[in-house]
Amino acid sequence: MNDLTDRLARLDGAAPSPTEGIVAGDLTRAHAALGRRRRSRAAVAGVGLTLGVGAALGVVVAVDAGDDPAPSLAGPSSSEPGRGQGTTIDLIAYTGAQPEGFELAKVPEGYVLQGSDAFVLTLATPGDDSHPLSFEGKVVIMLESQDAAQQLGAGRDVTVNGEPGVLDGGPGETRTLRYFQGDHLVMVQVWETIDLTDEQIVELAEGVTVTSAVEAGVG
Amino acid sequence: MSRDRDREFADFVRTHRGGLMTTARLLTAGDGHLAEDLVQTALVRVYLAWSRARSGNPVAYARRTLVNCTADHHRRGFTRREHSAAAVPETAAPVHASDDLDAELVAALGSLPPRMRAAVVLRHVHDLSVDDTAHALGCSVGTVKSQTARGLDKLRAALAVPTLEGDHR
Repeated sequence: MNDLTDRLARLDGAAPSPTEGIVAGDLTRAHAALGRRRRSRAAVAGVGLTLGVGAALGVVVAVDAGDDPAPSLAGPSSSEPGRGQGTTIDLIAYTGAQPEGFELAKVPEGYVLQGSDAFVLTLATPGDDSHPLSFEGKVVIMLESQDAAQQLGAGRDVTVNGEPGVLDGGPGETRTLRYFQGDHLVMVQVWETIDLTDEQIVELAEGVTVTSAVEAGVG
Repeated sequence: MSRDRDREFADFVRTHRGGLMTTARLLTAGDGHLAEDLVQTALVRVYLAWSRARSGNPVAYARRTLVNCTADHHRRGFTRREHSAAAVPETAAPVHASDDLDAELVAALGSLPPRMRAAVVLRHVHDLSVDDTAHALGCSVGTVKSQTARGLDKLRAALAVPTLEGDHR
């Protein structure tokens, strides 16, 4: 008998399963990290392509200071209106039963409430049978984890119902809007394939009401 | 493809997050908040490398990632993300109950150097083989044996556990 190794082995007991809110939080962070990596790689690829083309042509382009500035590789500026690819989705009034944690005034046309609880709300296209916590191709509304820093973070400054917010993500990328509603830091994530403009994302967020039943995930 | 990854990853989190939290709490000597941070970071890394993780043993992959995150945390020192603030946040993160763990033993684990602690946790708490522990720590089998032996000696001393003469466990 070895009391010490037995005591150590007993530390490996059954651990509680995470709540769906925690799982959703892990997925959201993972998606955000994936988006950051894609943006970083796209920027590196763009720089490499530019240098490669320049080297192949063997030319040096002299830019007159009076000319229009060259476009930035870093995506849209804060003043750029949305994605600029021709919006095909309108926001329409939400007429269904109001969910538990978040009340909705508008939804993207062609999207329905797929799932909701006190932690997260998911809008998806009708017939989407994926798990509500799978966020691909969907709009997701939730609170920032209570373990995370309650800050807006980096991105383009926007105003949601008169309160400051930050919209992160460029054209063709998954975008995340963070804004405060009272004491709650609300996140609205719009998947990269959903053709809403930045202004529409803000408009969608302005129709979201955080109820007293809402809970922030842990982790 | 991505939808499958999300579903598989979510299932993995549901099944194994609790175990990873236990490992993290032991690696951090009972610091529940740091353990939560490390698990979150490790899970993000696992997601980004999901195709690689799922092709083998995803739990082992996640555990190794967690150990690396812990080592990264210790290396970062004062360059951590946290910064002092004038006011405390209004919402406090919940304190994970630690009374389900052997508090005296967890405290004793905290007296070990991080790498030695990780070796003891993986080898004697999670019952990994010496080979698997070496793989998780990225070190040699001999290092695992020496680290765990010295770690157990230190724990016995810290806990004042009597040793039997000739007991080389």
